Amino acid sequence: MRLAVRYFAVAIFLVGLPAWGGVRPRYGGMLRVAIAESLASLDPAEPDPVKSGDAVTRARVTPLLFDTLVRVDAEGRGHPRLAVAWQADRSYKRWQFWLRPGVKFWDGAPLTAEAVVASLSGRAEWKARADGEFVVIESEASRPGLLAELALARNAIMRRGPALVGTGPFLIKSFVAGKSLELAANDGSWGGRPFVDGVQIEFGKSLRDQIVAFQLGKVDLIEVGAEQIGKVESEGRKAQVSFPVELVAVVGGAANVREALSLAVDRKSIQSVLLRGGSEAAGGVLPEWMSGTGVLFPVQVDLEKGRQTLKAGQARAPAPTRAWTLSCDAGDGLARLLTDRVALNAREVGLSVQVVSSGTADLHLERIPLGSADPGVALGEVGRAVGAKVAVGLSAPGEIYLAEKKLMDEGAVVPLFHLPLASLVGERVRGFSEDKLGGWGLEEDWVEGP
Amino acid sequence: MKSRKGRAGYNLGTPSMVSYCERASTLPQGLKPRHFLALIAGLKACAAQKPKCRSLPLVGITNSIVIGVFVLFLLGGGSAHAASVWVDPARELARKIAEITGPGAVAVEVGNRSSLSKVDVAAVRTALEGELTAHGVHLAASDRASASVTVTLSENVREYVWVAEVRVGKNEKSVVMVAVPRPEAGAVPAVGSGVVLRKQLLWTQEEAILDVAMLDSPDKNSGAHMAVLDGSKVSLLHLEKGKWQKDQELPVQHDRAWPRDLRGRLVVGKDHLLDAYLPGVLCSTVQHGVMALECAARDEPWPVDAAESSPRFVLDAKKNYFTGTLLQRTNDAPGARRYVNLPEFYSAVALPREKYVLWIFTSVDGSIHALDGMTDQVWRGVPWGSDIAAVHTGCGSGWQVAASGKTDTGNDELKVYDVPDREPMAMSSGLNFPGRITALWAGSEAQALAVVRNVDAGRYEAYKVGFSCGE
Repeated sequence: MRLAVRYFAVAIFLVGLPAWGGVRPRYGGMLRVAIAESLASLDPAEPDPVKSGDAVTRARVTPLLFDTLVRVDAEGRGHPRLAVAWQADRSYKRWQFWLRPGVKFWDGAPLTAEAVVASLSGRAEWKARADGEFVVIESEASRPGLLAELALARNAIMRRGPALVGTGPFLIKSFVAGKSLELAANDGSWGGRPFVDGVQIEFGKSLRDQIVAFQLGKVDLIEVGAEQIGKVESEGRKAQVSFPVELVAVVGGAANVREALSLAVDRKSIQSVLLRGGSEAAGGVLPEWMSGTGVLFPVQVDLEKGRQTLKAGQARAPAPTRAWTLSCDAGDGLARLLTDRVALNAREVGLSVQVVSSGTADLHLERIPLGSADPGVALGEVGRAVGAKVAVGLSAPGEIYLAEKKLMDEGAVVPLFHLPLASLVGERVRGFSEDKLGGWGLEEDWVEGP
Repeated sequence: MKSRKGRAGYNLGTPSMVSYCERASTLPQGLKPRHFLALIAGLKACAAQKPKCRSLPLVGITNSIVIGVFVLFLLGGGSAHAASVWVDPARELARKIAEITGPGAVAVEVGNRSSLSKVDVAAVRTALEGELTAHGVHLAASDRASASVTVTLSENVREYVWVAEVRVGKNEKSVVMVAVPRPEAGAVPAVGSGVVLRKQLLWTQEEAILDVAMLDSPDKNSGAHMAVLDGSKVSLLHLEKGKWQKDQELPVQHDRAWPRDLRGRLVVGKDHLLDAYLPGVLCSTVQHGVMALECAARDEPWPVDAAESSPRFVLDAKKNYFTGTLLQRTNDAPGARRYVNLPEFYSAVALPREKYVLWIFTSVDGSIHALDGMTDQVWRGVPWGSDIAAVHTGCGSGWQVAASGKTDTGNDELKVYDVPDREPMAMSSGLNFPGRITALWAGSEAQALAVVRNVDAGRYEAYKVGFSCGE
């Protein structure tokens, strides 16, 4: 089956899961959630989530507490959240937002244009200002993808002070940094009170511990690693799987080394052995469902061409043959497995790659969340992660393709795989439907029993 | 081609793009021979109207469209429709390719990585080759060609992406591409068996539809009128040339936050147009020169249907269920009513029987209660969802229950059940809907209103469902 067709089928399956199955949701009960990463702060902008490596968890937890002005779906359509309407000028440099009336922060204070501006202040990329009851955002560059930028978790609206105060569907009942978070339903939520009374989140639980807790019925919702999806499903459980939204790439090294490495890595083989259930071999930064230009980034192994590439590089700039060091996040089991396979494949083209634990290696295997369904914004997020600048205002496939190629060159990125996010949901949970981007809309869930 | 089209719904200021030739893009499916001459005439007329068809290069293009459409016409009406959809982007891609190759012999390969059907791929290929020919490109085998073009029909989640990799001689490969919006799919009606169910799409919008009411026309010469209730407004519409046109929007004024699973009911008034029941809020239309909606915070019991004598239910203003307090008219005195306490429930129907009325409730705990005035029978394991509506089909015992339920695909269906001996018995196959049923209200005797959340389309769809005795 063609890749795109498969993703659409997955999408249809996901949205078609028996969310309610003709039954209306019930009120009451607690949802218990386990997460591998540890959040040190609930402020989605501090520290930079892209660099702190917990972007996925932040993207899942933040919407429970804080709302963004808009939401953007996998098809790139904007939907109202705290803003009910918006207007851009023809250059897409000035945007005006109409705020939803009657929205209140948890402490009862009304949401005002000034509060939104204060929350969005300090951004280098644009300037927000209040214009009466409207919020105006202006930038020097054309930003047709501004809605997708505003939909990122780090741009959620909140009042910062001694404590964070939001408008989201849940309130913070207790938070122990890095360990646990307990949430209570916000009766005054503009979207209506959530169906469950609260959510208990436990951080820092390894994927293995999560599975055990899930099997013992101690948690209702856990994460499933991309490498675990096949195993989980072979045991008769149905994992909720998103579109591929995470890029696995080797970053760093000289251009000829990167090209030789790309030609050497047997992505298809690694995918079939280590990764199953929605993963995609990647030749480009963006997955096929987002760009539609995967054909321009082949993933076939070509060892002969890889060897020639290395030789040509050596001929252009003669240098002593050396071993390249490759590292990854030591706490990430899947990354370690992939790193070993990459090093092994590299030898096939005469590239000596040595796996090391040091963070200062020549090459680093990274897992980079794409963050958005908007291809231009997703490229920007990858650019932030690898320290490369990506032009803003990209939207046409041709522009995206060129920017993608440039990012691979300037950011020294060798794309290897695109991974989905997956979750396992307990039987007593109803209404759960992980969105196509891996988000959890827990405010729409309800539970059977206490 | 930009891919921002989908944002226009909320983007108040984005100018819309105008298609180059509306006649070509609005041709009906299933063309018959007599339509073909009209099609050619239409295309030629279109080509003659330079201001409206300014992106059409005139020399040769019209003929190539006609040839392409004719080939597709031979394949069937659907193919003719496909041609009208793909001609425009094929022209754009051909132009970009020809800018690189120039006139001459070119080898063209077309591959498909998208979900396009073979018929559509053939239509694209034909259109593309026709357009290339119009640019002076001669199609040739690869060993005789000065340039080679590999076209890949690909797609992303928003649109089709057609990519052309062009190599002239031994030069480096060039890449050009076009984005092609996906055509929108239409709703397909379905029927059951026994009792036959038919659905007709009335209205679709992004905001959750709570109820729809058909209105009496102000005069007999005007078409049908309809009101659509959502959480922020009542929309008044009229039918014109087979399409519902919006006349007016009446905002719903309220201070409290709505429940997450919002419910609402529209009732046609006797001395005014409409009443709109929402959780803790009652709105009524008033005519002060112009129509308006006046709303008040009131926990008014909701009627189950528009009949004067119908019982009324009290909806929990912060939740999605009725409290179980039923306000019912009695025969004790004129206008007298009494309160009856029942379990909390999502919906209820009254089935008239010869000597009594059988009440059925879908309770919050998942059980179904059937009350006949003497006993409260609890049904468990009945495959009903939360929403039910009474329908009078004339089949079986006359009145039946239309109940929502889930299907294997995860989407909801509507099925009709008779209750001949206090136990429900299916009388129809399921009428499938493209999502979850979020509202189901009884209409006139053999009709109901079903609202479906079509997650794939990101919209709510209101259907009029008709019930009739089948074979």
